[in-house]
Amino acid sequence: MPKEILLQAAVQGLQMGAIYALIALSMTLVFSVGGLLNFAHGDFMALAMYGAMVDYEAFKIDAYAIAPIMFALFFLLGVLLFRRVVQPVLAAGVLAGAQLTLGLVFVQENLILVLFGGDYVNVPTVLSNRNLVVPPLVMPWPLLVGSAFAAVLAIALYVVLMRTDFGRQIRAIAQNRDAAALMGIRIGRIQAIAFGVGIGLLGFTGPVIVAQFTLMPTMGLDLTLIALIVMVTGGLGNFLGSMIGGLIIGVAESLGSLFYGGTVGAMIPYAILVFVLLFRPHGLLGEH
Amino acid sequence: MLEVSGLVAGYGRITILREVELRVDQGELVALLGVNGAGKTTLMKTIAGLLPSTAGRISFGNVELTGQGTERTVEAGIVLVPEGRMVFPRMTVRENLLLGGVHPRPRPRRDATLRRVLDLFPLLAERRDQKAATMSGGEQQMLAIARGLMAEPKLLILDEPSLGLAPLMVQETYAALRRLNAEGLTILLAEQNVKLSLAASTRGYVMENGRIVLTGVSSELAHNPLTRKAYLGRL
Repeated sequence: MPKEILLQAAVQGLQMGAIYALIALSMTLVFSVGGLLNFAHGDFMALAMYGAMVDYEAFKIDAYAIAPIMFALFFLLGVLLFRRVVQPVLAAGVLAGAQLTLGLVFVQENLILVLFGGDYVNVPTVLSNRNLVVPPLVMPWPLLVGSAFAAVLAIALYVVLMRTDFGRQIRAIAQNRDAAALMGIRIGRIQAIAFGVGIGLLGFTGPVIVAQFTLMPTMGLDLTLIALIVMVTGGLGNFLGSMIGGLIIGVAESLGSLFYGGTVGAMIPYAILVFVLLFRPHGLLGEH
Repeated sequence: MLEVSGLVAGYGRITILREVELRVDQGELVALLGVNGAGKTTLMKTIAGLLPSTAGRISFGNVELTGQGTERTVEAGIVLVPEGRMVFPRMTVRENLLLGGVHPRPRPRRDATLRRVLDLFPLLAERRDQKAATMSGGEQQMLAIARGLMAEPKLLILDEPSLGLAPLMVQETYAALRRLNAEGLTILLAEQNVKLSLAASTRGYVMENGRIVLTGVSSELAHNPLTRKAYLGRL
């Protein structure tokens, strides 16, 4: 196999990996404050992509321009959802919370189906069908820009989590909730904001990667599945692990489909997951 | 300063505290004695706002704390150093301390408080970038106390600070508490170690089956046969 093709696939894998990393990191953020695995995580992103579609069809505003507004909208949606729905259900236990998010999957996917139909949709942007050629690499602009946004956001979020009072409070709640309460930390408030930021990031990322995806109502669950593989590979609840895991799974998927074709290649991330768990049952950076 | 009257509390339908009366005055070091299961931890958690009460009152100075959460308790100046230390295991000593002062009341003076606390516990200054989980029980206890001090408490409540510690660390922990008390910090201390806590305190309460059964000056409690009865179940 020529080296150029291998390099091309690796770079493309890293770029997809950055996007996976951000999805997994925001899912880890939601997970860390309430112990809630949000199975509807990918569907929020799908919803954001359909939002970009509506925006384009109605106002002809480019998806990239709408991203900050979508962040704000999804942040509010996340906070509201946490306060009104998730928090009361979580009080009944994490299992009830998981069932709730599974329910949200169906609600969102069917909402999309009802509103927009079941056809495949592509949303054009200013960057659609353009490539950046840096011999020997040919990189589609939508993926390049989308992954750059994802990488910057993921790193920014990581820095916030590790270096700020807000981030420390989130980690404190994740590590010992009662002790966090004894510091006078307003647990519910921090949880709601964390949930809002997690969903808000999906609201931002959806539009900036929309040109790279073909939209369909059930795409959200696929994204959630990838994010779950990433989270478990990197170590459930570990922020750095989610980012590293994202890159690993992105590259594995890309090289897998290069070597073995689409069907077998799509299994490679799962193979990696099994392989990692065999040797490190808590994931690459998992503790306990 | 702290006034607890007729306090009834517990977990769900299980009542643990039965009309507890307790008072701590400014500058005191008060010991709360009792066997395992007497209700000491429940009482402290309820005062700190971690557990709701079903009847009775908790007030601090002129602040009404009944039915308020931990956020309000810390605001008022009550800080609980919980049983089992509960440090944040995957964070460094420094991060643990910063979190101790994260509440909006002490937050503006946090850098200065951190320096003072590290002066008080030089060992923590040496270990400031070490993960809390990698420290010994005694070091973690010190960290837990230091973290509590970061919130600038007016009343520091400690639940079993000597539990599971090596004798030397117990001595050191108590020396630190006496020093803090001498500097003016009011302390309420729950202990199973009667000898130690009565030696350190000015007054004491003895708890049994969720009730205060005996109270008095520590030196008298130490010689009161009822104190021994509360521990041994017989004279």
